[in-house]
Amino acid sequence: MFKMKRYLCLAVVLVFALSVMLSGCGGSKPTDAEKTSDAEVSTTGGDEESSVPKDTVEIKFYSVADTQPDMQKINDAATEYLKDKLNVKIIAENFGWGDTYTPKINPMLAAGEAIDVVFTSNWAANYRQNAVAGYFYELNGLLEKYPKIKEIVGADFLNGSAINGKNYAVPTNKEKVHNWGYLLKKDLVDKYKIDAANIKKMEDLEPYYEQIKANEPGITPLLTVQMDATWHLLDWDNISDDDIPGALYNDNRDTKIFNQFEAPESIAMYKKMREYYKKGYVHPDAATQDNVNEEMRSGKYFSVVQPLKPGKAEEMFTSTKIEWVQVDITPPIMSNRETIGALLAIPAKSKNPERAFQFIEMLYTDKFLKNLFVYGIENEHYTKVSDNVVKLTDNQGYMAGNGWRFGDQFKDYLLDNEDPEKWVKFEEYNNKGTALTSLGFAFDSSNVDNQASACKNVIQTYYKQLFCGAVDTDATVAKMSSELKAAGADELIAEMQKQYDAWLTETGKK
Amino acid sequence: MLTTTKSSQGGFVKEVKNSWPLLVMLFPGIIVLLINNYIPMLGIVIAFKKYRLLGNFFESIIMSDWIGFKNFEFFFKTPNAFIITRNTILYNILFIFLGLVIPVLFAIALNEIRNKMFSKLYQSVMFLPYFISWIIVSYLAYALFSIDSGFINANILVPMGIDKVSWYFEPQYWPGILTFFQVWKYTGYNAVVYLAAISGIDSEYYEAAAIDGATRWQQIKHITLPMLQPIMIIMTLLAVGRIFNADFGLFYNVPKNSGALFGVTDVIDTYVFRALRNSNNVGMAAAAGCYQAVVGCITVFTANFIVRKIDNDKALF
Repeated sequence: MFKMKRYLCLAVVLVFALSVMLSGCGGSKPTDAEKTSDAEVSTTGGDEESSVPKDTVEIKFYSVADTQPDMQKINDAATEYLKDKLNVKIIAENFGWGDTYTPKINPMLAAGEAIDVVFTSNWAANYRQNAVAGYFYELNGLLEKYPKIKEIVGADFLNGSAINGKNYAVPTNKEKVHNWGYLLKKDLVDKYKIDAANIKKMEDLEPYYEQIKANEPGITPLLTVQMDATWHLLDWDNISDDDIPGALYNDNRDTKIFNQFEAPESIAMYKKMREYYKKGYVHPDAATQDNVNEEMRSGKYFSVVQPLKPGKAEEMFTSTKIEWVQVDITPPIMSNRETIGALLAIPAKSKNPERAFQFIEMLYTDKFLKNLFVYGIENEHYTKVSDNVVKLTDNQGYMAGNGWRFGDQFKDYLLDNEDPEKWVKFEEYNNKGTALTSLGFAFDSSNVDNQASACKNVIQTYYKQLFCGAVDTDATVAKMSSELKAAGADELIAEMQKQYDAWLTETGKK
Repeated sequence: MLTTTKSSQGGFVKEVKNSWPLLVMLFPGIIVLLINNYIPMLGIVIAFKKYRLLGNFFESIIMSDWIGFKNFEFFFKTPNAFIITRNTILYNILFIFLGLVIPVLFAIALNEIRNKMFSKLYQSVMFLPYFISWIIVSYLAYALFSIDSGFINANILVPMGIDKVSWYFEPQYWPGILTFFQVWKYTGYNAVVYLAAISGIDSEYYEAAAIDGATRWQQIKHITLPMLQPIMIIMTLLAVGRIFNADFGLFYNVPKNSGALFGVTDVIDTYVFRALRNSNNVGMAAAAGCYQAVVGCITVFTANFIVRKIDNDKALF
């Protein structure tokens, strides 16, 4: 009895101590509740359009890009600028790139947090999945009411991002086609007198790889990091994510969906990379490297496969401080990769979707606002060289850049190292691309979620070592195939085919 | 507790009467426990639902469609379910065994060091790895095992005329490597627990043994180890309770997420993380969590049952 009492006493003390600790943690909760009720009150009467709304509302704007120390200054400047236009308080924040952004934003969306504007795409905070799950506000009504975005982006491009005729997000007005090719390190191109115009396929670089391997100790001829590999030169028209089986050829030859990871072209590519790996053209640690920008900055590589567009080499100079020569390999193509490559959506739980949409519209129409979020504050983060050309200052407080993330990129100032004709070339490039038949098709994976997740897991197990040639091709492909079969890849692809055929008939493309 | 259940109803009422102030003090704790640990458990229904956003978070949970065990399919569809369950359990059994034997040996050895300054120094040095994050450990490992410039390949194997080993592609080495880092990181911490228990042993036992002519070894065998037994059992039982929770930091960071190694490095936590971090499927995440919790719970009860069969007093409950 005595022993039990002693234990009871101890338990009581422990529990009490714990409860004091925990109640200390919970102290901030009531303020949160107060905040939301305030916000709710202030939403009333937000429907005036002609004049400036009388009530100030908060707009939470979450995007990709690295976190910036001076973000608060930008928010203050934007709030000040919009005071007599939209009367909103801007709370913008960046959450890093894909791998850090997605795991932060997805739970917020799933939990129904009141965010107003959010970046989404096929590579970060997956647009289709989140739209289908009901996390985004349907924008068709607002797009009719405020037609400027449609005019700027173009109805075709806008429809490319629609799901069953419904728009859940608006795409950035930027390059609308893509192609793949190499960036070659300029000093080595000059040294070995390489004529970039003569390089049409990956084999054309082999003689130079051999020379560089022999004569340039410390330089690896070819950089492959995760998916940034020669595999992209096959340019599959992927139906879902890049690491989910199911693709079409990129030349509209037929409408049959197949597993691109086991296609003969892919296997030939794996074998080629195996040969490169054995010859030492690829870094032995390639399969464990994970940051392509960091490796490019190191200056230890001769070539790297990248998605290209006019001025890509100059753009990469800003983030790598290395001069590159751009070599186009695949033809320009307009595919779903572009239409859902960078979008802004309004989460379903936004308290002020209309005001949020007006804010998004201003990112397309207002040059000052757009550049504020790209380059920061004039004379603090950049200085003007001429009317449309700017030079970055040494102040590193705001270096978000990447104007392709939202709004109208053609409204961005040009950097002093960029081609003054950049936007004209963008237009030309856009007109050059062929549109794929599948443009506008959105796969709804909800019937085969299990298979898609399981297949993705299998692909993630094998793709890195196959893409860089670190393992024996045949044995690894055989293992991958049998695991994909078990994971339900066939059912997944059959479902894709079924939906695609139905869509083709529906849109009259067949 | 046993005394309460054994005594009659009257005894229980009397107990309440006698110690009601203590029981009242228990209430805040029980409420916190309910709110923090029991109410969230209702969320387990998400594992059986096709979660969609249909209102606020709670409304969404209630209104989403019931789909039974469909969320569990992705997990059991491939041989992965077996492999990762096997990995999780085997690694943890090994870690529990080594986490018991090695720290106890070190604790006894440290206790035998007469120079207090050295004893403290060794203890601190051993404790240090515990504070190093797994992320940093993963880079220490990379410095050793990098294929191109790692210490082992570049400074040991190549000078000896042996071919470089592609560490990050050859699974056979990894059970050993992972075990090494786990032991390296936690030995110091566990040793301190046992060291504290040893210093709590009454020195009169040792004096009496010394007078009777017991050697050092006999003293350890007949005094130290038996006195350490209760704490050893508690520590082991606590570890057994977590046998289904793999150390995510170790298994995710140290092998650098290399696909070729998944066969021996993938455990439930890493599998779920990789499968779900991009797909944003709340239902599947909940399903995997539910599986882990249910099997973990079964393991604890089984372990406790076995202990109770052997020695009733030593069981946790």
